[in-house]
Amino acid sequence: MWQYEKKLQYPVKIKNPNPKYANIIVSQLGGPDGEIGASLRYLTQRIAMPYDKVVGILTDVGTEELAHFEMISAILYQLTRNLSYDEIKKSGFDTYFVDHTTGIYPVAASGFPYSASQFQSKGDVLTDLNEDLAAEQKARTTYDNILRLVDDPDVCDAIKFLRAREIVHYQRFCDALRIAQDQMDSKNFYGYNPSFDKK
Amino acid sequence: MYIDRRNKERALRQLQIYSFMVYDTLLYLDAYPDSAEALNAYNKYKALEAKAKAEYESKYGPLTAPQSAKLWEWTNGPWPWQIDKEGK
Repeated sequence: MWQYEKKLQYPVKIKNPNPKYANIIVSQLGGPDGEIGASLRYLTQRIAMPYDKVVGILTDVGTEELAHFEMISAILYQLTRNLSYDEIKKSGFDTYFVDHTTGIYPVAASGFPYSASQFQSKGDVLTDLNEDLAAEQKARTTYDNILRLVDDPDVCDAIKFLRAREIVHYQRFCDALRIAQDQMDSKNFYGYNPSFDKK
Repeated sequence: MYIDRRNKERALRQLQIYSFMVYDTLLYLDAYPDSAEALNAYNKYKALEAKAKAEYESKYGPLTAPQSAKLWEWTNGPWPWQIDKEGK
């Protein structure tokens, strides 16, 4: 089970609302490489994972992604405070506003709603861990792109923290892949799938 | 009022730093359970986190639903994403 702690993993304090930035950053909530997809990817994959240490890594990274989902939500909430109709129309935030007002909803920056089709839980040790490694790098690239488009220091500070965590998670999944391969046949990792096949 | 808010922010920041150290060493220990250095760091920051959390909660209210309570303060704001008009 999970227990909620009433604090953010890292502070989010944005002085200046900016709906244009919200339009971009919402992709890390519900976009193809966003935080909710990341959390669901690891928390689903861990169930069929046969190696205890790797289950631990998937559980703990998947849990941290929920804290990142909350941080992105806080960023979006603070970027869309006290908006005038004029700001909403001029910034391009109007296309989000019409469906959600300033409520938090997981969509990509393109407007495509969050979909589980954006990740896999393949029930195969090597396939799932390679997906996880790629996912962390894809999220890191998205944060790089956000930092290219946003120049508010309050926003960039929180985004830089999240970007750094993608790199740490990538390193832990490198460890997870090594741990898994240490228990597989070093001559043929693909000889069988320990998530499914009986040896 | 201003000083109180600053103290609260500082106490929360200190707790976030300890919690971060706990979480990062926890992830590391998942992969390297035999690392004595990581285990020492985990134990050290877990104790510091518990102390900072208890201090914060005694002054500013519960961060997790309480074991027992005389008054129900769990739902009192502000919630973590809420800030005032000046962005504080």
